[in-house]
Amino acid sequence: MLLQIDFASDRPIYMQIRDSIVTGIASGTLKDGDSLPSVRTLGTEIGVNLHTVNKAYQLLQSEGFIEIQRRRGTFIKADSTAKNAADFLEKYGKTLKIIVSEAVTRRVDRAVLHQMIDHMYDELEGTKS
Amino acid sequence: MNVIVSMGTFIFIAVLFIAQPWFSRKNVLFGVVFADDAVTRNKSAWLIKRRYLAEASGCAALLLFTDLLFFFMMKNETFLTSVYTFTIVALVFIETLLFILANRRTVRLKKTMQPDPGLSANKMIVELGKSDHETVLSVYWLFILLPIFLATVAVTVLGYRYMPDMIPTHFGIYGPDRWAPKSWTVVFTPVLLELALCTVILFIRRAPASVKGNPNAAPGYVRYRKMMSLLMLGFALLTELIFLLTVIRFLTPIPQLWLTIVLLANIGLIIALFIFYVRFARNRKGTGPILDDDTKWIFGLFYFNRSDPSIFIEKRVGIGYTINMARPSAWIILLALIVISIAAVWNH
Repeated sequence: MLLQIDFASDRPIYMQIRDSIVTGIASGTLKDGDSLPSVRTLGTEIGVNLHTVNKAYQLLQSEGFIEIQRRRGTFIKADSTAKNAADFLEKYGKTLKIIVSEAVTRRVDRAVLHQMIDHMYDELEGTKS
Repeated sequence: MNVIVSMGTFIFIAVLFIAQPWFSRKNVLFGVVFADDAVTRNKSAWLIKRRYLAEASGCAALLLFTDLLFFFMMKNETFLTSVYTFTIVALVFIETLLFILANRRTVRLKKTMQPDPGLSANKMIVELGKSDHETVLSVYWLFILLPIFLATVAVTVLGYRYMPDMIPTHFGIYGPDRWAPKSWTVVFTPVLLELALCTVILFIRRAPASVKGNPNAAPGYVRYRKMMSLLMLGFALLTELIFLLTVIRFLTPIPQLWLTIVLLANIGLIIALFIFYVRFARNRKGTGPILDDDTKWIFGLFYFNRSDPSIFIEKRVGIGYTINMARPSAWIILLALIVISIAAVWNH
């Protein structure tokens, strides 16, 4: 899987790494048990501070997306995240409400937003199968 | 001083400098990166190249001529040696300066060209789904250096008492030609040099490519880096062998043929180095978005990037690796290497 980093983006680099890996799991390009490069290797490849990569990995581990094993390396943990749908709704309920609020103030039609989300689901599941 | 050998060395160094434009990936000219190899067909770029070739070979020829003049007019050995050393230093200095001038010209040329969409200063794409296992040569490979290393230490420590008072420290084609009074520092210099070599290999295993941006910016680089690491391991092994034979030689004479064989193997590895470089680095055409990181390469020669954790990186011009000057640890390693080599020369 390819990870794209935009140094000029407002989104911090560690969040870009995190987002990419989550999208990779959702689309099925990263599967349960897949290896990830070590913090040092990824840091030297992107050309960013090791703390940045470490921060992304720690965050992903605390969110349950990956598992860091001291000797063997870092692995994708796609299955365990599947169980935590309730956590997700709690975590992003507020964020989603802000997005919906903005959509309402801009007079974005409910159906359009639904369609957009459906499209994203299709896209991720499409690459999976 | 042997005229043929010293002039041969001079010409070899000069040719390496003059050939600089060919010792980089095809989308790099004098250390300046372009989106693709179209730059090789650019008229102005060709003029910069031609001018560099003329200047570099002109200066080398002038220095060589001066050298030869002294060789045929003077008979004083020490004087000739200092003249020769001076011209070599002048050669390295002047050719580097000429390269920097060509680099400046190329930077200016790039500014006048249309910004290429294939070149971006803030986009970086890397391959994620690979473990270190697949991309970095395992550190365990270094263990193959251990047996000969231990043998060298053992022979040195156990055999010290039996070594003669004067120890041969330099070997020419016709056997030992320089000696030094026996001391622990002299006999342990080879051991120190071996450790230095190991350190370098340790870091080269992870050195990133000089052209980045996406996995195809330097296609097949991971494999090439593994091959280079193994080649360095081969060099280290041969160097170890030379040192082992050297310390054994302190104790008992061994046939010159052995050293000659090892030396020939070394030359074979150097030829392999050139072939690998041309086949797996220079002739590989990079595609996709390329990272424009010219500002990180001072004069196209020195890498200085604070945010890059790499300690070593592939050279942008020339075969091999260089340090990331923004890393204090890189300076410490470089300093240690310099100190060890000076100590080695000093003992001679």
